[in-house]
Amino acid sequence: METLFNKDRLTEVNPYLFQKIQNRIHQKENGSVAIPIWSLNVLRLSLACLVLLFGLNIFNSFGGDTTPTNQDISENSSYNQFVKDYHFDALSSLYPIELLNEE
Amino acid sequence: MDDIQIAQEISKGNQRVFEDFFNSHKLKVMNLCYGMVHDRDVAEDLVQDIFVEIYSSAHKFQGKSRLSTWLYRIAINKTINYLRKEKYRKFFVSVDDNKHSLQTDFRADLNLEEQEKVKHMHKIIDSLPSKQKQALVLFIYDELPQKEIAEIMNSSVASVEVLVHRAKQKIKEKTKNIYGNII
Repeated sequence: METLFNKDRLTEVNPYLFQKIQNRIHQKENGSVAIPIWSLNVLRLSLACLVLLFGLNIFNSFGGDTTPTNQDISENSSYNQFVKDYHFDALSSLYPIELLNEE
Repeated sequence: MDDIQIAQEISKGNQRVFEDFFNSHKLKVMNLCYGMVHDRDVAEDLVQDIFVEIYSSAHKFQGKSRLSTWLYRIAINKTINYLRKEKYRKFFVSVDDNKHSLQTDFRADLNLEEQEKVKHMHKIIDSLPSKQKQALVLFIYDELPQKEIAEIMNSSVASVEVLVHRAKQKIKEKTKNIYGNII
């Protein structure tokens, strides 16, 4: 095992490696646009929120209809009380004026 | 010149000191990266990243540890970050691209049988838990003393000893089934 490790171990490095490093440092110093790290975090957080909202939206669209039906409303006691108290006012907008005048 | 002075000179932009520092550590850092990623081209890119990082953050070195320890810590973090990104990238590349990336890792200095064995050993090393892999690479590829490995990994010498021992045991067990006692 040791022999194989010895053979696998590198014994030389690219002679131009330091020059490459210097070039990269030079590029970094001259051509870099300073973007603060926190702005990247804000961007990540925004993306995460967007994905979360997207996921919730999909979940809601498959999670069943929560809008109350007409039957649900008519079975509601407070609705029935409202109809009893204001049945005329509630219906008046549906009546043509002539019909109201006749009454 | 002590470690703090070297770091100060590097942060001031003293190219001669930086080059000396690079020359005295390049092979060890290269072997550390190679031991972790098993690809010389990638290891070379990582070495560039590491020394660029050293150059740009040398002013942050406070002398709490040795400069070489600080260098190895940065090197380990960079390689671990690379491996993490590579793991996610593999989800999005096609099988053909993966094939190509494996073919580039060719060792002309080894015969075919040795290449096969080395490839197999790399797979076993990659299957080790992260801490065991780090300790093994620092011990085997960089030939660092266990005391220095403990400093780099922020742990005790005893635990490094255990990590290296367990890693070696696992490699022995897994290679024994295939190659007998040849490796």
